[in-house]
Amino acid sequence: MKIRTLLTSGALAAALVLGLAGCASVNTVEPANPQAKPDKVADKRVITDNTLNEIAYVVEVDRALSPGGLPRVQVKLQNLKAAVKNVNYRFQWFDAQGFALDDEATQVISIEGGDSRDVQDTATSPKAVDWKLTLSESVAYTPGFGPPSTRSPVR
Amino acid sequence: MNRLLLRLASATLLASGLLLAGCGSPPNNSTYIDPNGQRMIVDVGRIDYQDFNMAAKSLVQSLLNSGAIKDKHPGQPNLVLISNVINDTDQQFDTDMLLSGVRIPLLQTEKIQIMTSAVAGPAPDYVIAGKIMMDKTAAADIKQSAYFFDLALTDASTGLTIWESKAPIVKQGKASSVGL
Repeated sequence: MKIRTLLTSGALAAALVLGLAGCASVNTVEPANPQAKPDKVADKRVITDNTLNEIAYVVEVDRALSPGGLPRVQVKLQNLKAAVKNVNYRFQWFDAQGFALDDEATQVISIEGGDSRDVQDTATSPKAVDWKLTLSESVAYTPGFGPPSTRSPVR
Repeated sequence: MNRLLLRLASATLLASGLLLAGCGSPPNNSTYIDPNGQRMIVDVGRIDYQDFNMAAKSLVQSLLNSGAIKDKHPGQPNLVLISNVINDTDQQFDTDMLLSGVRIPLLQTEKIQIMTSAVAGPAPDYVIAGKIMMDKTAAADIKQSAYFFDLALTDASTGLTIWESKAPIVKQGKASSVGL
């Protein structure tokens, strides 16, 4: 009985140490009274993956125009967990009739535990009026080294 | 009773396995994938197709947001000459893999016309040229490859560089993987 208790405690302690070793969140500092006056956008969110929502929580959405007059959007994402996570993101722009404009490449951003990062995009076409941001967790796996990620992409 | 519980447990496990297998399983046979999606192969030892796309997008975004390209001819698009891009890596590839990702969105702005040669036609307003560099290192069995896509914009009338940006693509791992 004592040996079993010792083994269990040892295993739990080892798991705790290993778990903590993978977690390193950040501390941040910024002006208490920021000078920037962002133009915030009311957004509509479709959350199908609550875990993804915790590592890439949408804090706010801002909009502006580029120097050339093209629409521009910035989305602040926050990682509410303690461990660093890679997040895939993809912007898509739509014209006044709701038709999708040119397909854009998926980008990757790394967000440290507790940190927030901004992803932004400027439309390349003057026809763009609306946008959509698709977020998803990394689906990377190495064939032969273990099972793939089972999380579905979030739209 | 025990046999019934065993059967229920087996059925549950089987159903769970099938369910998990249906969520993002890798294809066993050759299949088409979204070229702009997230299921490309990531090779830590070379520049992949999606790396060119990501770098080109980053560079174009930087250029458009810099305001460096000014309207030199009101009501007319600016003429931009795409000059050479030097490949300073250990990989052989067509630099158009990067430049097409730059040309296409710039043309979409409808404010820029692309020149591929200055031999004939009007003189360009701006010139884009660049370089792709790399740095490779390793720690134990973890490999890291860093690729730097550098582009600069020169005002053709003054010869001055008015914009430059470097898009780094850094990959790290023991082996190639599937998915971003």
